[in-house]
Amino acid sequence: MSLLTEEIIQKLATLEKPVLTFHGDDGYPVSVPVDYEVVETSGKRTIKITNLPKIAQGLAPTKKISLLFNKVDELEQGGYGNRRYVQIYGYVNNGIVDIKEVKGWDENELDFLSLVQRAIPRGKKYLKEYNERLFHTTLKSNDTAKLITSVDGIVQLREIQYVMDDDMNLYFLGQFPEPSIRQLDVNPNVKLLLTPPEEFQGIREVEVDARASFVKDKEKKEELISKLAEKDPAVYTIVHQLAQTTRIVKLIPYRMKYGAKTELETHEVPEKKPTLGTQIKQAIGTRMKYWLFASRAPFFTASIIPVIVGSVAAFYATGTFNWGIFLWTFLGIILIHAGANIINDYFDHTSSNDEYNILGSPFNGGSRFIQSGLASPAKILISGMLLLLAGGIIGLYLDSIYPGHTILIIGLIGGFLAFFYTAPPLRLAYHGLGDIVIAITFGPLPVLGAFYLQTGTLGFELSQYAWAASVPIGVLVALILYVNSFQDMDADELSGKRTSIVRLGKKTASKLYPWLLGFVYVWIVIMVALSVLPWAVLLALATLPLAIKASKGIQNLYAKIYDLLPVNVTTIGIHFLVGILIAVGFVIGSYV
Amino acid sequence: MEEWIKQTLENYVIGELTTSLKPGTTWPRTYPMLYFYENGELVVTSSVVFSGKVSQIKKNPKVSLLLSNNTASGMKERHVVLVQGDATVDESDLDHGWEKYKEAWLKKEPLIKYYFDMRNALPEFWKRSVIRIKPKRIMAWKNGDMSQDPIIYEMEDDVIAN
Repeated sequence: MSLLTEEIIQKLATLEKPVLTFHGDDGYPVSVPVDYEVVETSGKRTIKITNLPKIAQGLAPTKKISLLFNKVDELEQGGYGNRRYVQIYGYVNNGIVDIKEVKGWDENELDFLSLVQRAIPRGKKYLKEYNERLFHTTLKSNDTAKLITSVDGIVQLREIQYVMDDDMNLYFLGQFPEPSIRQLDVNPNVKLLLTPPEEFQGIREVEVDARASFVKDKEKKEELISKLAEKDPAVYTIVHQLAQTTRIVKLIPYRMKYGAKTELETHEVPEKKPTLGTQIKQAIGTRMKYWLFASRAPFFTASIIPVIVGSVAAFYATGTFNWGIFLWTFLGIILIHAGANIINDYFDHTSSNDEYNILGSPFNGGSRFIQSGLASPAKILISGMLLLLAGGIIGLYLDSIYPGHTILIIGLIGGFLAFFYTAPPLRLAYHGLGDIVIAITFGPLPVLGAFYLQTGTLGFELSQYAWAASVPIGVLVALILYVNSFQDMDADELSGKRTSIVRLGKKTASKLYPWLLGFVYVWIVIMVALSVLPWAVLLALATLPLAIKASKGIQNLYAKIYDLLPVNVTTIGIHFLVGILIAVGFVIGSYV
Repeated sequence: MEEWIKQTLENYVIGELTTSLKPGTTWPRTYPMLYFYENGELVVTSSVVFSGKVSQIKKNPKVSLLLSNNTASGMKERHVVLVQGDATVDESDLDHGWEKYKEAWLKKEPLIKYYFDMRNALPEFWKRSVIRIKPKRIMAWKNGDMSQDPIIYEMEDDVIAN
């Protein structure tokens, strides 16, 4: 059957004379207008080219050709319209066209809009490929990008230098506690701004959404450090000098947006996009992390331990234990501690203390939420006050259990000391009273408070156990602050905070540390010898090796701020273990 | 270059652009196209919706543009000019790169204003690549007399621009 139907023949008659096209020997197409007539050969109607131009003569019968019949109408208002064409593909032999395919378009039959709409899926596919190319080449052709991080509407912008792996993940080096690195801890969703390569010079900037995580694998880290050092040899120096605070961040890019002026195109990599489950987990996880970091939760042991010791001392004294009261006490003290930590951050910000303190360690400069752009000062202040309020309400409930308002008085003393620890006008910590305030608020006050809540009395005959146990707890918690103050010393001096370390100097202060620590053990032994504490409390002496290690460490490392960090950790460990072992000693003493 | 050839290049409204993937093994594809003559080069723009020609040019830049239809050109003579050359595709700004030809386009095809005004409804259509053809050879037949040998210009230098 001929492909040249009567309908097509009639249409051809309305069009301009055809353009014959074939490839020249040099590979360039040759197009020439030709005349034609419709003929019948072997029972099929076809086209015969009647005036093959010289340039087309000798065309091999195996050469692929096309014939384009085209027509536009000149319009009265100028220009043209009514486009239509028929295109024929085939071969030519002695002017006779062996037709293989016929196609065409007539604007009067299929309007231009419909033609475009039919072709839109193809356009979308093309755009997808274009966007993929833009995405890949932009990531590959750059090695720097602007990184945007944010938490709670506080935005940080910094430039990063990155390397890329085969899976199009990016890696860069950051230092804790740089604001952007801190923000990644809480919100791993970031944006990158990159300049596309010259091929896309009309697009000034490409915005890439990515998810961040920290590389923990040691081997992978070393491999990435080598790659980063190839781009910037200074990386080795940074990593060597600041090993403790160096972080390698992995970025998984999953979406790209760009717009030359107003239009916005998006390209996504679905397999890299966070799933709904991941997003929910992340949303909950990041909120929890946010408040745990903001309130410096790892330091809650400082208030949990005295509550445990006080409660267990009451059990030793009376042989009874009220779990309900214990749990309310436990919750109340955590809320108050969290509130106090957060309020402390606010006032250390207003005094610029935390701004001066640029050391990257968990023991210094507070949570650094304000400095890192994780929260506004107002949010920190309000959050701290709300936590104190919640803790206060629990305190009032606990106070109502027994007549006499003993808990209220203890709470008011504690609240007063906690608030004015850094808040004006007293600013106790700034006047060298920080260690004593901390010793009292995290030693005798909570130990005796917890004891009172279990027993309803502070009569010395019963409470002597709690008094005796509260002293080592108070001294040890003050020692945690004492060691932390070594790293804070410069910032404390600048902001006028006259801590023990500022007043004594690091060397003298480091010599005092073993004596203070030794006092704890001597106190325990004396109290056991006087039968105030049960013999089983001597279990706390098991921590002596740690105490010796910390004492030696501080003598050698007091001037090296980062090397001193293990001493901070050990001091916290000693406080925790001594507290727990005293509590265990009380329990054993109750039964033996 | 003969004046009538220059006038043809400057005044004709449409031409037939031919592209192909692999000369000799694939069919030559010929598209009636509105073109612009600019600094000795021929320029056409192509929507991503009709991206076949662009894809082919990226793989094989050898193209030709035949000017044989004097409709709406204001010229009485029907000269035939075939330009063979190497095409480059500029996609550095699909949204706006082609806009510098908007005025010339409206002059050649006033009806296109209707579609310009529908730009937001046809966003894909108005994402356009700019194809520039640098002539390598020009063959011209005065008054379209194809029985004659063409005048041939080999573009070893920038003859066309002069």
